[in-house]
Order: sequence, then C-alpha cells, then structure tokens
Amino acid sequence: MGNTIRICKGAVLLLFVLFMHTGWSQQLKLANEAARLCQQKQLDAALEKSNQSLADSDESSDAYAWYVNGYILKEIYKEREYGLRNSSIREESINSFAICMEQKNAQQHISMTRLAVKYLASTYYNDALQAAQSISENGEKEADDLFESFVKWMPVAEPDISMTGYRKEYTKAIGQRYFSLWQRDTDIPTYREKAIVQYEKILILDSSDVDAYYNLSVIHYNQAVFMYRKIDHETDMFDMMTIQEAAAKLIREQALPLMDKAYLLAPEKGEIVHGKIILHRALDHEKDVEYFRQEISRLIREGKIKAEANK
Amino acid sequence: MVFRWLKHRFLLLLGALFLLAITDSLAQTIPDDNTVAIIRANYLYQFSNYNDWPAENKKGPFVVGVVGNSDVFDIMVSKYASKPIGSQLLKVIGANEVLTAPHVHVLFIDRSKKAELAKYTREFRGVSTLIVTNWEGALAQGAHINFLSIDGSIRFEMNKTGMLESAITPGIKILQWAIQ
Repeated sequence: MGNTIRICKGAVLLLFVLFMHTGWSQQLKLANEAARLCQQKQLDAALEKSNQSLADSDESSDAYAWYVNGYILKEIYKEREYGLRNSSIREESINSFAICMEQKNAQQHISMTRLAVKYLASTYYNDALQAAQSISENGEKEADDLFESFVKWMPVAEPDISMTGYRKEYTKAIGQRYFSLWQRDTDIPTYREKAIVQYEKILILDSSDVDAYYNLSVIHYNQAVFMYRKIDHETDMFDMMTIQEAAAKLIREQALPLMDKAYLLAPEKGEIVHGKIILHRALDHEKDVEYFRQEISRLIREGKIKAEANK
Repeated sequence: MVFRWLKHRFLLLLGALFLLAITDSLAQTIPDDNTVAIIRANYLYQFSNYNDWPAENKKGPFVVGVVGNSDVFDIMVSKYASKPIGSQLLKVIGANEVLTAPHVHVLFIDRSKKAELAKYTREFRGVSTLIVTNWEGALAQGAHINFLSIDGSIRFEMNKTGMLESAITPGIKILQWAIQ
C-alpha cells in the first residue's frame, strides 16, 4: 500500500500532553483526572472518568472535556481496534471531537482538535483503500462507506482541502481491484466493465489524468490479447479471421486512441512509449514501432527512463 | 520551559504529519504477447492443413521452417508442434536447420531476412516447399503466399500459379480467403 496516509504515532499523544500543561483546563477536575489516567495508559478508567465529566453539566459545555473524551477513545481505538474497518470506537472518538468543535470555547483548542480529527479521518481513508483491494462480488459498499467517512471528516480537519486527488486515488484503487479480478477469469466481462467505469470516473474528475487513459487503453488491449490467446490448432480459419478482425478493431479503435491521449500528456513516460510500441506492433505498424523504439533508446540515453524497465 | 519545548515540537510535528504518498505507478501491466505472430503462426498451420502436397512428401514429419522471426517460431513450437497434418506430425525447425532438412513443406521468411529470399527460392526450386513471406512485392520475388496487413488485420495474397508449379495444390479455403 503505497498510497496511504502515513500516521505519525506518538505525535498526537505529545499534543495531548501539551494540552494538559497549558492550564486551559484547570477548572475541569473530572476531565483532568481522565486525562491523567489516559497518560498513565489506564484507558478504561480514563474513559469512565471522562464519561463522568461529560455527564457533569459544568464540564460538558467545555470543549476540553469533549477533547479529552475523543482523545481517550482514539487511544482505545489505536490499541484495540486499529485496522478494524467497522470500529465503533473510532466513530465515537471522532464524534466527540466534532462536539468539541461546537463548544463556545472550541477556538482555544481548535488546532489540536483538528489534528486529531485529521488522524482519524486518515484512518478512514487508509481503510477505504484496504477495503477497495478486497472488493469481491459483494460490491463496493464497505469501501465506499469508509471513503465517504473520510470525505465527511477530512474537511472538518482541513476546511480548504481539495478532495479530488484523494477521490482519484481511491477510484483508481477500485479500478485496479476490478482489473485484477477480471484477470482471474477473463471470460467474465463484468469485472472488466466495472474497471472501465472506475477509470472513466477518474477522467470525469480530471480529464488530464495520464494513468486513467493508460489503464483504460491497457484494459482494451488485454481484452484483445485474451481473444488472440484462444487461437490454436482447433480454431477454424474462418473463426480465426473473425477473432482477428474483432481484436484488431478493439486495438485500433479503443486501445490506441486512449494510449495516444496518454502519450500526448506524458510523451516521455517509459511505460506509455512502451505501450505505443506494443499497440503499433499489434497492428503491424512497422514504422511506428521503429519510431517508438528509437524514442525509448533516446529516453534511456538521456537518463529519463531506466534501461531495465524498458527492455 | 516544558510548555515552550512542547509547543516547538508541536509545530514541527504539525508539518510532518499525515503525508499522502502518491504512487507514480500506472498500475496495469501491458501484456507482451506478439499478437501478429500469433496470427501468422496460425496461418502457417492452416496453410499446412488445407493445401495438398505430392504423395512423396506425405511421409515422415510435416516440416515448417521459420526464418527471422523468433516469436513466430516460439508460437509454432508451443501451439502447433506435434499436431497432426493428415497422417504426419508437424515439426518446427529454425533457420539453422532449413537447408539441411530432408524436406521442408512450409518455409516462412520474415521481412527481417528479406535479402535471403533469393537464396531460398534457388535452393527450393523444383521442390514442393511453400514459401511464405510478409513484405510488399514478395510474390514477384518468388514467394507463394505473402502476408498483408489491412487495418491491423493480417490477410494474405497468393501466387496460385507458382504453387501449382511447385506441385502444391491450394486448398479451397485458402483460395477463398486469399486477397485477389
């Protein structure tokens, strides 16, 4: 999982300690006691004390009490339910932080609260990517729900954040998953069609996404290759020619125009130039194959791509 | 003092937290199958099956020689070697065996070796060897069947007279599908 949000362990604890020392919360005896227990890793006792704090009419209107509660729940989540995609403790934690941000004195604690929310939001994102990689015939609901939680909470932590990049990464993860499911049984077109839908969604978000054009092209080319691979000694000549016509059409009318778009956007990306070679070779375009082979050589010579990746 | 130190650490950490590591990968791998070679190899098999050779060439293995195209050679070996052609079994040989084999029924010469066509046509004059090529003008240079590329599809043209002169009778399917 290269495309996950990294979480710096201990950082939020440090902030919590900072929080305790600031003196903002000296009047909140129950919340302070809960924080002290949390610092001593007595999480159950800390949570019990924090719940008493929230039941207290004086303390429950203070942002700090809610912050402490969210923080303790977050620590419990990290210790007991981290990686559990349907963790209810995480949800309780982030809700406490949200309530913290609604209190009159929320501004006093806003930066640390947002940081904690950002941490939890990022775990939703990471879990959404994990869930995307295990999508099966049951569909995308679990992954989508996790991603939507991320979409809901991340702007709370960072109000000006753009979600487009995250949405593209997430959609790409689903596309990759469907692509790999299709590879397992290429006779079932459903997964191929679902993969195509994902990459087309990315292009709606960003019509200059090179990876989406490339991956769509590769899907169509794969479809053609799977047709060619079925040709053997039992294939009648007429059937062979019919298969060939259909496969060549797929490459000519679908795969190549998409690879051309990727190439226009990234003419010096090794995989794309290599893709151009493969597609032109499939269409017996001898001169084009030679041209792009020379391009590969040039890019290697100029140190723009690595030789071993483009043999 | 403790508060100031913690505040400083807090500000440092704030910048370092939650980095998004975007992958540079395009994700999908493009298969390296040489699809044109798949088609050409299948045609060579169809030519072997549907044309007819003289009775004296219907003994021993049915030999297909491939010159100048390792992809076609590899596919011929993996998909068609040992398959029956009438009562014979198909055998695939490379360029180094072509001139020493007792008989070659079908010889494919790739355009990368087009300069060698004259040598092979001389060598196989008067012998029932079907010479198959893949470049423009090859029929006029002595090939019997020549592959053409039409919109990315591989088709073929043929020199029927040349085949008959080599005592190879074109099959009806081959005649049907040849580009006139």
